[in-house]
Amino acid sequence: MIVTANAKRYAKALFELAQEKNQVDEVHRDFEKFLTLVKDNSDLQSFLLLPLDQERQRIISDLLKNYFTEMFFNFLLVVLKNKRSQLFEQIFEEFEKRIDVLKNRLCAVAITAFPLPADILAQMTRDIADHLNADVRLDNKVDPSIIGGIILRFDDKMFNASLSQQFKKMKYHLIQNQK
Amino acid sequence: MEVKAQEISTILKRQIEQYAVTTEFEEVGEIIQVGDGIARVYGLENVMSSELVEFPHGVFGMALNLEEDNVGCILFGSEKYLKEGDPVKRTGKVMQVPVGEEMVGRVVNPLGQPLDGKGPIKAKEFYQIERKALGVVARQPVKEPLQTGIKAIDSMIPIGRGQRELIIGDRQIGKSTIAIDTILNQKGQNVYCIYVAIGQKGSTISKVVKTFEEHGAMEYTTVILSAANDPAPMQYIAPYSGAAMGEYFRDNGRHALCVYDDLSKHAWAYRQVSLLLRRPPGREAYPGDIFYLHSRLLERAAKLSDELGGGSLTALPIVETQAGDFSAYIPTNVISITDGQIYLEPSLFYGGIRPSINVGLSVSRVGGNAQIKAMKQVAGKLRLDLAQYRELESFAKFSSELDKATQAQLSRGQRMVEILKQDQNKPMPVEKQIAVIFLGTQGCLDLVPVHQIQRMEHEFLQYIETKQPDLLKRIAETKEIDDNLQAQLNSVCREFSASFNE
Repeated sequence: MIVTANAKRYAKALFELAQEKNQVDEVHRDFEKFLTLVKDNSDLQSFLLLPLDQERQRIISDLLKNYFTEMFFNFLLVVLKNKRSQLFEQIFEEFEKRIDVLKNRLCAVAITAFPLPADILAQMTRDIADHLNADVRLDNKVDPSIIGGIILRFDDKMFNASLSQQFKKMKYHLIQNQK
Repeated sequence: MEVKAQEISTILKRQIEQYAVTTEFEEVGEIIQVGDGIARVYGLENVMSSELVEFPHGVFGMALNLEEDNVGCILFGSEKYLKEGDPVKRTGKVMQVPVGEEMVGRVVNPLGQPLDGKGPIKAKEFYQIERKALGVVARQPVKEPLQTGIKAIDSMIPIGRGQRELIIGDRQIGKSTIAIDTILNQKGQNVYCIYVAIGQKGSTISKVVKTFEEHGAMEYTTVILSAANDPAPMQYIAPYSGAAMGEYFRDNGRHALCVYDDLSKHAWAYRQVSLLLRRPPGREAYPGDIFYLHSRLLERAAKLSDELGGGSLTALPIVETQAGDFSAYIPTNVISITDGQIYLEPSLFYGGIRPSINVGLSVSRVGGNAQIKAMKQVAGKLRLDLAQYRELESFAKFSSELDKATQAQLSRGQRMVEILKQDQNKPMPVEKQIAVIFLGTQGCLDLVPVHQIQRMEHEFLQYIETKQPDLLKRIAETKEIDDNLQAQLNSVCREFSASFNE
């Protein structure tokens, strides 16, 4: 998902505040809870898109206040007040990223031509974790167009050991050697 | 020669065997938007400004706008196959072009890739296209002449090596011709020439290349071509890669001449790119850094100090004006950057005075020091004659009754104007120019009818070449007209005009 600059700012503010108050995990839990709530409830979804006035703020307070920590609830109101309710998912993603950095966790994606067996995936996760000295969560994605091998992606980095890439390089190599 | 299939497969086999599998970490982002020669990329958090980035299908780009949540890139290739979500790789390199002797005689695109079908360019060195201009300590004043081979310029608007002289005028009145003739005249002068065509018609450029080939000028010339149908980013970088190629020669103690034809189209290309990257428009919708765009390019022309080898890079930028409007934005900018300008005027051009240089408005701010002494000696008189002629010319239209002195000045001026006319693609060595101007300033032409002047000039040069060949040689060698030489020249002129008048 593409995280816009705006969402990054909200995430940064929320994260720093949560860190100061030592409530990172609580806020994270609340955020997750809130997103599932919204996702399962289309009425709430459309209600949140409406501009916030006194009346609606009261309704939201009645509805949600008791479920969340005070900090998260305030954050919710600020976002709604600023008419940025469409940013919630992006903010959450960025927020999680910041938690990952804090806890030295790493989300990586392994793209392969066919689904990886569980034991190999586990082995790979361990290897990568050893190598990068981080707590790694490895997802497997299948893309037959890479023919074989593996593409490993995390953050902005890519380790491309796929067959399609090798073929591409070989093609370039052969063209270069033409007289 | 017969090619055996076996041979080819063996070679291929060996190549495939030797092919080393290398994989390393790459930093990637993804395209969020592409079109009009630019792409916006998400990710690439660590990309540098003006770093080269690689798109799929072998298209390269340059990161120009580093924004909070995306990177604006210009594309140096077709965006036809690029789509949203495609990966974009960092290369970690800043844009560079091949430079060196290997480039000489080639027609290349602004990336330095050959376009002439003469095989790959095996350059040993690469220079970054955006290089910092040299500081004051590394330079010295311009002191050697760069002979253009055009009488009107070499005598009155002399250009020195390391100078930046603007050629300015309306369309179709011979701006490029002056630059091309200058390149033709560099034959045997140890000057490497780079002709940068920016946004020009393919047919025009092929004609230029053909002219170079016919006159043997391709032996020391590189042509950088960005045609009108090339993407604007290509046109934008063309002069910078030209400057980089010229700088190679400059930094190695040799001399180079770079023609930018033309900078108004370059400004248009940059305007397009800037507007698409959503940089705020300013006057005439050009971005705010349009002045810096040209000043940083032209500042790279320099004459190096002797400690650094004394090489030079001369720049001849060309700017096209619209309907003679010299006070438009781009012309005034470039005029203020350069060390002088050559004004071309349509009225002169259509009046049959070609090259149509307005010598009254044209100046060369530093070239005077570079002019050889012999030329200075004859040109002083020429300039005076022409200035007096211009003053009287308008005034003479009103009255037919003029005194003798005025009439003499007018007829001298007419003949001087006639003598400065020159055909296209016929540059003249400086010693011949001196001889011809000497003939005029001595008054040997005053009795000859105006329409016969050009024939007389032609015959005079033939005469002097056959009768007194060492005279021209002496001017070229001593670079000065001493009393002895002046007496000899005088007598030759008298002899010749006597025989011509008969």
